[in-house]
Amino acid sequence: MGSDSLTMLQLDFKVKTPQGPLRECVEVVVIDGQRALRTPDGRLFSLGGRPDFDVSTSSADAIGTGWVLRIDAVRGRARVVYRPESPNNAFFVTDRCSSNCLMCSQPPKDVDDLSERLSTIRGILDLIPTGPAYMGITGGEPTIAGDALRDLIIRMRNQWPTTALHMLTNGRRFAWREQASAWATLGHPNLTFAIPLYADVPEIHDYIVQARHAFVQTVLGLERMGAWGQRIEIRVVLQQATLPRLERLARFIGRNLPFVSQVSLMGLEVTGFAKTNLRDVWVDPSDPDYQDVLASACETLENAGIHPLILNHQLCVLRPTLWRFSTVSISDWKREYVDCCSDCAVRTQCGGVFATSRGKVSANLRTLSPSDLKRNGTNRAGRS
Amino acid sequence: MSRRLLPLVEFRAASSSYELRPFRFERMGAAVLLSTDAGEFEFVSSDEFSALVSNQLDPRSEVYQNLRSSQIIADASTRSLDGLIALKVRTKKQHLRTLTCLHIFVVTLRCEHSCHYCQVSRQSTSKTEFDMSWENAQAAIGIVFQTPSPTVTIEFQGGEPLLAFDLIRRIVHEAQRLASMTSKRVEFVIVSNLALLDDEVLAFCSENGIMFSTSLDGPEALHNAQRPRPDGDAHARVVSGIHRIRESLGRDRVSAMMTTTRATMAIPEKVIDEFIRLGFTTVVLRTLSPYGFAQKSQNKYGYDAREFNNFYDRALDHMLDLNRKGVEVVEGYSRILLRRMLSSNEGGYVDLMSPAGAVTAAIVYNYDGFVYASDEGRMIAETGDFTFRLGRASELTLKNVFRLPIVQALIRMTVLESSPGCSDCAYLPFCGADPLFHYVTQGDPVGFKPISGFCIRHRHMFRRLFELLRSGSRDDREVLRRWARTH
Repeated sequence: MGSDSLTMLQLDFKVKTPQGPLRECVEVVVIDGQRALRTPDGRLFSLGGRPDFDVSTSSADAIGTGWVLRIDAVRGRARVVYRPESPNNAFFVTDRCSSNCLMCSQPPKDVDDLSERLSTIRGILDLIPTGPAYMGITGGEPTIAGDALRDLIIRMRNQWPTTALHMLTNGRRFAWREQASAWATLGHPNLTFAIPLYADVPEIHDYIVQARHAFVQTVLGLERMGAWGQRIEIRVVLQQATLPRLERLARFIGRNLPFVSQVSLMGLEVTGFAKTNLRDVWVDPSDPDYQDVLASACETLENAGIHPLILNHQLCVLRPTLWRFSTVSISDWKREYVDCCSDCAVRTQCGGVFATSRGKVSANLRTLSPSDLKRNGTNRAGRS
Repeated sequence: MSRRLLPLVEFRAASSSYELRPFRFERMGAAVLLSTDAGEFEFVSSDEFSALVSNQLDPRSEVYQNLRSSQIIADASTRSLDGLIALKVRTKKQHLRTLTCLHIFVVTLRCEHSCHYCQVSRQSTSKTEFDMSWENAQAAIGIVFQTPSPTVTIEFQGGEPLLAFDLIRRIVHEAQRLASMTSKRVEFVIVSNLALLDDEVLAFCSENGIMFSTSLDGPEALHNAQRPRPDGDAHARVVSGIHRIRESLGRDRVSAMMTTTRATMAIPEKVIDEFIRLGFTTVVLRTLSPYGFAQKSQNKYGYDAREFNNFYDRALDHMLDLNRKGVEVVEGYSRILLRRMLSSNEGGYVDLMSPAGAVTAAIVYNYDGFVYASDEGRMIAETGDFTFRLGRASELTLKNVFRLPIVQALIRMTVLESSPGCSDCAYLPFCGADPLFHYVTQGDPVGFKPISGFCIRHRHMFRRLFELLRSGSRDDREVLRRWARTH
């Protein structure tokens, strides 16, 4: 359910070495000012004319200082895998997933990509000695990587002790006692497991994730991780199938999972499967019933002592009483504002719309005037 | 793996048979309230109820989904989640893990008020033999810090505790010293009529974060009639005290409790409005105590449970009406009940627990050095019945207290799940035991529930609140849910 948070650069990268053109993938970091690149093993590259290696590209200016690129020297492309200035960096562990969610924005692929993805993550860790404030871990389903990812998390605990880790997982694996204990004993001081739960009854959850027994596995997994005292966020993507029982789901969480630190109620990102299955998933968030259901779910969670957060919703479609739960959540690299946002009084507090949704947004986006700005939303952690 | 989209029907359970999990029920007109030990509840219609128990619920119906979500029924797709029921019960009872957290110190029996309904045998202000000695206080403090609870509240009661303020000061210092040694957090509350509040007291309370709980019976005439003191100025003094505490310690550092008498019942609206006028947002509708000396005045001030229920309804209606008009006011006792109904954990209200909070949650150190199972226990002792006297503080440890036959009996008799008249009550998961009330009124800590004023009152309040949650107006339901959230 994660998103490949960093973009692919379609640049004509060529890497020459004294032994001839490089025929492999390498992670390199762009050193401040010099426009030079360095591999994990200390070899230096330069963008145009330096000893050892020579990287040539026609648009070096598009590359920012301190970025980590994964250059595919065979295809002449590079993927930006880390930008120090971004609050939304994430390690992308795999495209594989055991679920197949109706509205997945990053549809899973049945590919064997683990070793390549994990080597990229190791490359980033080699290159960045001091970690960012926040790092996502996403996929696909990251837990598929098992020991290899757990070892990387332990490495991050030691190398980047102050970096908050936020791992998106379907949590199904945690239903197995030994899996739960393996993932719960990494000793990381600031690791959150963000786990989706779409309904209080099996049919709906299993339908949304398109996998039988997923509900029972996720709920048991949540219980086990809760018993281990892990920090857990529950994520609910609001869509046709989740809205009818959303208030009931809030009640279920309050009763059965009162230990979770946060419940994120998320607007739809219309890309990937969500776009393919638009007819089955889309609901306009400005619909009064939608707002009613959202309000009562927030209230029920608050009664249970759980903090609700509303993600990916524009303030102009959100009922003002819900603003206090809303947070700017759409990642910087895929956030945009539409025409009516230009003169909006709350633009700076609003998370905008998904650029990736390509215009599929509420039909009722509008410009708010300063007089609408009575109650301001608080900004809290939460990313998408 | 196939990535083809399957429709919802593909994920429905193949078999349509289900099993019942334990639940209790109560008919409410055309609806039936179902509740479970885990604190889950559902409303169904009479027809749905008949279908439920004859195994004929339609698995596609909303009621089926709701009952399965609440674990009142289970089918093949949810049976593996049965273990959650145990986890929920454990969460609900988590307060039992920390044990005794409220420690009441009766620092003196002296009082300069002579309230007609007083629960305690107050003594005149000159009789210092009714003050707690420092040796007895030290012994009590020793027991306080034997509790496994990481936080403790020490509540100073009387009499009027401000008449023994020097002792309070010593106890606070000693408790803080022990708290830092044992890494516990300690909070202090003084239960006072505030008539003797002065700058010295305020300064000390400010330095040490001490809170106040006071008595306010309503408008001046009612308050002064029920709470006489030498100059007849009880109301003026408590109001001035409330303002002074708010100014020097902060708005939330003083709360006020009312006691319902027959006179209150004639003017519930005026009593509530007086609380609001004085800036309080919570009014707790508290019944007249049947304990100790208050029992003697039952005839003049007393009323039966049904009269109280009428009063509760009228007062609750007034408060709901105020909320509809934008005045935020909370009925404090309903809040305790609603919090239990709407959240996963029972909360810390020691007077409504199962097993009862006597000793398991609260314990009393009397001025004379004796330890009591509860505040009511020491009040009864003032009438000559020492049943709930546990021994001398100087000779007890908290561990010993739990081994005493009377304490074990109290715990055994107050587990509602095995208590006659309670074990099949739909309100049980949200209720608690009051062994002292039943002991005083019926001579037996369990009590015969059909004639128990406690039971009649609680059943009424639960029913009223559940009815409002089921079929009240949207506004009223929102108010009740908001009450459950506020602290």
